[in-house]
Amino acid sequence: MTKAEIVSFVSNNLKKVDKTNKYHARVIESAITLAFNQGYSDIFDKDPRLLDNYTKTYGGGGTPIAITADANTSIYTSTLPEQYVPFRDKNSGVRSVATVAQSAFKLYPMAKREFEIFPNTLSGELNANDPRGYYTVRSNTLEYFGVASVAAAGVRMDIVIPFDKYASTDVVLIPFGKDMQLITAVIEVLRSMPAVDLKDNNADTQ
Amino acid sequence: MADTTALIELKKVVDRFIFKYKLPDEDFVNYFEHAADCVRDLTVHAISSYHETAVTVSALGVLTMPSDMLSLIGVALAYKGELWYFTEKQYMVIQTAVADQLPSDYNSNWSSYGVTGGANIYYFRVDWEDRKIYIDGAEGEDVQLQYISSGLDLAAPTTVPAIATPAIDAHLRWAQGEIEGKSINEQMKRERKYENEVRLLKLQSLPALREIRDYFLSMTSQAIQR
Repeated sequence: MTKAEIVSFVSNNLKKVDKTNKYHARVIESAITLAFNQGYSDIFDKDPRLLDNYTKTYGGGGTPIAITADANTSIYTSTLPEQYVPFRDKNSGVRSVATVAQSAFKLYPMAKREFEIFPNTLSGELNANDPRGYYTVRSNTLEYFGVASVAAAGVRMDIVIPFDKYASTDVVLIPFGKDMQLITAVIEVLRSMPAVDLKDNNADTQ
Repeated sequence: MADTTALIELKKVVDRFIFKYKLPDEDFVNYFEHAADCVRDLTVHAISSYHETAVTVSALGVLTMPSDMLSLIGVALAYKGELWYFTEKQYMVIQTAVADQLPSDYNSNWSSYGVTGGANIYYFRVDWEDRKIYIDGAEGEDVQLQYISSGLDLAAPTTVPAIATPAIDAHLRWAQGEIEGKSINEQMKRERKYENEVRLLKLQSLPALREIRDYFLSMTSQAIQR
């Protein structure tokens, strides 16, 4: 289903709360976002690799994500193209980063602390002439190590983004096996909002 | 039809380990570190690969060890297509006050006891602390240095024999058990598996059948059978 269809489905299944029966679209989206994040989290607990099915790719299609060296720290950095849903591993919501064209050059995530210690490790020593790219995920940027050879070409990324960041026409995959549970959860959240007009005069026919 | 190569890049061994055991890629760097440690151990104890390089002895008889040298196999001089090995002389005095210099009064022909048979005229003594080999008899000449390297290449991608993959995998599984806090039983099981793989790996350094045949034939006296 597209994002718009999911929102519409939820909206049409809500109990009428007043004569207009209007919920603010932003409120509905936020409620769905909460429920989806829970669904993603359950998938992560089952197997983090399965989250790859729920990512959105950025940097493909001829517009790679730029990598630039910071003038002060010399650290290579990319600005994240979108917010991500955080998870409790090193990738967080940025599930993979790769060279624009598939190649033998691979990029792997690191914790921030590992990122700082890395030059002192055996891996760091060997990385000088046998480079692998490494990145650490920050709140709105990625910081890289060992990407000098691919920086000019940029990268592509697969990111788990919050539901409300999808475009209306984007197809959004509902976490598998959670369709009923998630939609019910959303409706339950919204149903708990008290009606502003308790007089029962909203019915179409009585 | 070409077969797969006998050497494999270490980083690909780790890639394949992650792939085979369905692991998330977030711990690649940690596993790579363990794999590098493992290769260094295997190079010393199990993989029969060594480096041989021609190096020039200084005019003072000093040879500086390559930075990757872990242990010495031998020092030799190439002569008429064969190697003539030097003899280690532990009581060769190394002068530390004057760097890189043999004692001026050193004379390898000294003998305080009766001497029987032939004596080498080339000697060496290893100074591990200063990472130098002191040479007597070949000052200023090119010699062949045979040594065990760390096996970890800083100038190019590190490669390992593909046959070592099961041992490296077993080492990584053992490391994975420790990282993930597996039970002691499980860790010991994985350690035993690693030791077994190393044992099997050592088999490949045994002499080939052809070499053993040559050895036996060289020990026998042959005569015409009447």
